[in-house]
Amino acid sequence: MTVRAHFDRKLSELRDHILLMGSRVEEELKLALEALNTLNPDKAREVFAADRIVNKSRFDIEEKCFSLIVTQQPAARDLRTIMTAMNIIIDLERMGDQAKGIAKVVPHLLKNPVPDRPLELKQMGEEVSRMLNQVMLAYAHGNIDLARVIARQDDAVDTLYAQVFGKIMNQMAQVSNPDKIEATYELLRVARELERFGDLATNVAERIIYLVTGSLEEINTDRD
Amino acid sequence: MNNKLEIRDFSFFYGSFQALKNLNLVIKEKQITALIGPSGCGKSTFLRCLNRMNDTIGGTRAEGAILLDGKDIYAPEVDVVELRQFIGMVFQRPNPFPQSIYDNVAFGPRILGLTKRREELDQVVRESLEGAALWDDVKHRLRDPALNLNPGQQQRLCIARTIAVKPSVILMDEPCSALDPVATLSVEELMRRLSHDYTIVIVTHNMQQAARASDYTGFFWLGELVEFGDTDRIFSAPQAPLTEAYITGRRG
Repeated sequence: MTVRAHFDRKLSELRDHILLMGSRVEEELKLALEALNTLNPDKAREVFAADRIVNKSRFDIEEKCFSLIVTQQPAARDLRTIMTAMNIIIDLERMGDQAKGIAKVVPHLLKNPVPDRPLELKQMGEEVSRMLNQVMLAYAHGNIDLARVIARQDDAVDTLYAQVFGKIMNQMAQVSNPDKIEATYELLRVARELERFGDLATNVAERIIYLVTGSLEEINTDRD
Repeated sequence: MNNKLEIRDFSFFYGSFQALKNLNLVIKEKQITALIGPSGCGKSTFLRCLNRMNDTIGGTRAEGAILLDGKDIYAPEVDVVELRQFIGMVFQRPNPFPQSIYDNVAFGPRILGLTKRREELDQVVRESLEGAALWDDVKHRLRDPALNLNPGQQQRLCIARTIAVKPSVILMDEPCSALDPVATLSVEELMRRLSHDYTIVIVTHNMQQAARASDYTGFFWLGELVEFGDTDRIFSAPQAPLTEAYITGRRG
């Protein structure tokens, strides 16, 4: 095998590792939302175990990137491919942390259930799951049009977050029991984790555009 | 940043063979410009056009213009010997004269009558050797044969010899290809220091060297300038597919 062909194979393997890491994060989020919906502590523990695997993936892939940089001295698209990989794994690992943050809420809600959860929370969960799925597809195919769509989806998540925030603040204002207030606040935390999840998916989309075009482009300027 | 050299619609022929095709680019003053491309692409031919070294080859012809500080170096009234004082050259293999270290550096100023007294010549030799980061190595043995120096030192001596005649441009044709990695790095560091005072154009086969040591890079292919720009951009996001293919090793 020629040196170039060997390098191409390594880059292809790198992409596959990232796609696998993305699917692990998708699974972790799915588990976290199920744990939240059913208030199932066993499912919550599965999320913690899944997150450890995601974290390990990040470091494994990072090492592979370092090895490629030092042995291949990449330039142009090869360099962007590796730099993009190093950025995406950080965002994916953080998305895993957001999912873990959702699962951590389960024990609190078990002690003090909140009967009226805003519907928007479920919608946020569905939306960010879809975002992650699509951004990984965009990455797999180098599809910058699909990557740009992610920004609009993140706008929808931000709108839902604003609605959830308003509803939860109202709920908290109507509750006098401190434990109930705390439990209601945990829902706000879930909303925040999901909103952040959406932002991180948008980061990944921006990196995909950079990989393909060589230009750094902020696709969602309303993030802050 | 001023344009030190402007190349306008420039073509070069070896007999009927067109080695350079309608080149248009500028070389910025006191910057390092690297020229890359596969063997036979015309980059060394182009380098030698910048100080008309190709005039020494019979049957060659140039069309278009190369302006040095706004003046065409191919104008009929140009004195090529004087031109080569202002646009000096360092070659691939170090080529010190079979003389002492001192006489190597003093040769150019003596021939050109740049100094009147011995003390002035000593000063020029010292400054040139300091400028080439060689003074500390040789200050106690200036009368030693230059050929006793190691290859890295010999190349720095050639650089000292070049800057002794006060050029404004230094051309370097693969100056490190005969040197080991340590000597290569020392020459690259020297290039960076020299670029504060001189405009440098370097031909290199080593793309990592071009990437780390230059400010601008031009990519040549079959006598044409395919792409020219900031080195950072050329190596991170080249515009031309052929540039991308060459620097990633897919073609060449």
